[in-house]
Amino acid sequence: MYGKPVLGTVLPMAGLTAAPKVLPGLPFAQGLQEAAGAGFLLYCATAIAMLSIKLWFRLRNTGERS
Amino acid sequence: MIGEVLLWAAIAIIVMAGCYNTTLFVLSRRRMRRGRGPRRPRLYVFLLACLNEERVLGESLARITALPAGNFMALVIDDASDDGTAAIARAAAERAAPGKVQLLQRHLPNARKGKGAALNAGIRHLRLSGLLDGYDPSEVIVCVVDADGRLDQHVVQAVDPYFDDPRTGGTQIGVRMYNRDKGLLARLQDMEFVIYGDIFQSARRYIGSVGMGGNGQFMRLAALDSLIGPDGGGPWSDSLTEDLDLGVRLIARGWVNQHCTHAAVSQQAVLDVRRLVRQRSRWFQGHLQSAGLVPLILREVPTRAAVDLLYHLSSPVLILLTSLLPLSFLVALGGTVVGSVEAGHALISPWWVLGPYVLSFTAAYIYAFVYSRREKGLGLLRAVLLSHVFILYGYIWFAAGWWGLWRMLTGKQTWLKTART
Repeated sequence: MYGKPVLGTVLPMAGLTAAPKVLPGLPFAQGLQEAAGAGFLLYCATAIAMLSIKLWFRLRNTGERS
Repeated sequence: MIGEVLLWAAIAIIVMAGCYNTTLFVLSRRRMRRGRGPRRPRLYVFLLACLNEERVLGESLARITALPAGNFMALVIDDASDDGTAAIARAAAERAAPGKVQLLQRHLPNARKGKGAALNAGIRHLRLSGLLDGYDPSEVIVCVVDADGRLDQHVVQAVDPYFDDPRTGGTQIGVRMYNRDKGLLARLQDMEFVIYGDIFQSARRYIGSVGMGGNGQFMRLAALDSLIGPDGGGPWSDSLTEDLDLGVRLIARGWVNQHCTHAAVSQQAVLDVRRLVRQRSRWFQGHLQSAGLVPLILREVPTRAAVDLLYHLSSPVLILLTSLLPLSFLVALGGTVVGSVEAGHALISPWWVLGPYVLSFTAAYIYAFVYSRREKGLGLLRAVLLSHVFILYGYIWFAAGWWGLWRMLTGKQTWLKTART
């Protein structure tokens, strides 16, 4: 996809972890970041499952050829 | 504890994307050695699927018929246009050498079923009309060109050597915007396509996962034939991104896709933000539809290419996830400004500016380097400034992504094509 470059360009919120929680809007901002993080963990779990399936197909094909 | 893990997981998205982009940039700088076979004379067939393209078709056909290549023809597939598209094709046929421009007119209700259906009809017509009689499908190269596509004059000479390798199924050339001088938005689209071609597509030649782009897409007819299913349907699917779909299926059939950096097709940039977001929403929705290709990739595609294609196909998910981060940043920034006013002193540390800048805009220097090599007249400094704007321009994908997802969830499949100006 042509938007691929955008993936390396977002503004990360590492600084948020050190900010005082009394600031208005901060819990919401952290909630958004946590939602992104939770989604990414789910993404990683799915990716691991897919790569495992791919590995299984590869091993099976190697076995059939030999 | 869980909250902290989630926060760092969000940052890991950026780290992963950064590592991926850097790896592909490094790969893209390597020289590519191509496999060679015997040189053979080939027939080049340019397919132009047109729906109301009278504004741009004449110029595109004029450039195709002026190509300094021997054996070629253009087939205009008029998909039941309401305007003068067919008349322009006929006029071009009269001006050109006999047989160089052919016209296939489709009529409702069988027409307007999408670009893939029109291209499939074009391939069927080529066979049924006898235009390909006597040609070996391995030596017939079909090129898909958008109606506004202006091919470089040396395009056939640039692409032909790639097909000397009998494994080559398709070759994608670069894409530029011919109206890139018409404002910032057009310039940014040009930059986007140059970066995509010169970094991502170039790197994928080593990985074996080069994608097809729908415009300036050359394919061996024998490779297209290998995609035709038992139902006799054509090689193209009805996906909104039929080009992405076709590229993946070619790789799955064992063909090699190439990317040619020595020639380009120039198309018209969209000059209106709203239209641009709509265009990208359509691409995004098509990309989501392509999730159906995952089982095929897992079964048939070599591992290295499969990993990259899976990442590529899953990029819509990453775009949606990362879209939450700038929003989070803005909310936190606003809250901190309000808090600073209430506290009577600044609560923002310099790291709030420096950290995000380094993580967000470092890529701008790489993009500036790549783009300035294509646009020699721009100069490196202006390219660097432009690249900073380009980083922000990339945020268009966030809006486009959520719109595309909404359309998919609500079952909307029909899209008006992007209007020409």
